[in-house]
Amino acid sequence: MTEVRAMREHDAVAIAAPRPPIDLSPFAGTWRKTSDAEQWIDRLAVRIDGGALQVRVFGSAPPSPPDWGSVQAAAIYAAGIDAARGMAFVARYALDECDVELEANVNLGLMVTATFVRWKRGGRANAFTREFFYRSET
Amino acid sequence: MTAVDLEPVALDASALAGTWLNTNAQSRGIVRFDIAVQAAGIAVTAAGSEPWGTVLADTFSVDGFDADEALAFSAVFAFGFMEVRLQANIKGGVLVVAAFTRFEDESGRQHYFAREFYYRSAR
Repeated sequence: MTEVRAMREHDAVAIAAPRPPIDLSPFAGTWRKTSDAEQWIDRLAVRIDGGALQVRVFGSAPPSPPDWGSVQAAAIYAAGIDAARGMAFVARYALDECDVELEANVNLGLMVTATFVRWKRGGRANAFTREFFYRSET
Repeated sequence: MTAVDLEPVALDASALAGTWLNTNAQSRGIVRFDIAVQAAGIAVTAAGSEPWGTVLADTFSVDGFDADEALAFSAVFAFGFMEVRLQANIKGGVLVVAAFTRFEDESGRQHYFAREFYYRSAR
């Protein structure tokens, strides 16, 4: 077992290596917005592909594009330092007008999806969004 | 003036500035943030059981793309053996901070997500 370095008390735990794979099943499926009103993201289609997470985003209303396309999640996070159940992921999109870092976590049946939007041209403020989605059967 | 010619919207980050303390006095995570406004963005100083140092962070509106006030930031602390990506925003006077932690060492510790809350220390 390797000596652990920590910058927070709760990280100072010894866990037998290797790190187990994170269960991606909590993320898979179609996630629809909980609000009837227009917002930044309409829905997400998340699927597991070869042990990775593919995340496709559909915009709700301009300036959000109707289809952001699908990207592989850049990072996956578990529910705890000794957990294997997936709880959060990060995905990045290079859209025509902006770059978006999407940071999502699942909690109590919701997918809480935050984005950091950086516009490539002036005239708009870079913005943070947080929106909520439920897992749909269809 | 075309969209290309427009200046980037400068956000007022003063609402983020100051000292923020963890609402959980027993927290074993990040216990304190000190935030200072810079010419571009903010400087975020964090502390857990060890001082984390200071990083520059980008600021964001939370009220759409026409706003001029920054109430959110994104910051990354990289220590070599661990990277922590912070997603932070002020809501109801509380600084809500989600931490996305990745361990880059061989310790076996899992990459994990956690959220903590901070109140502004009296000025």
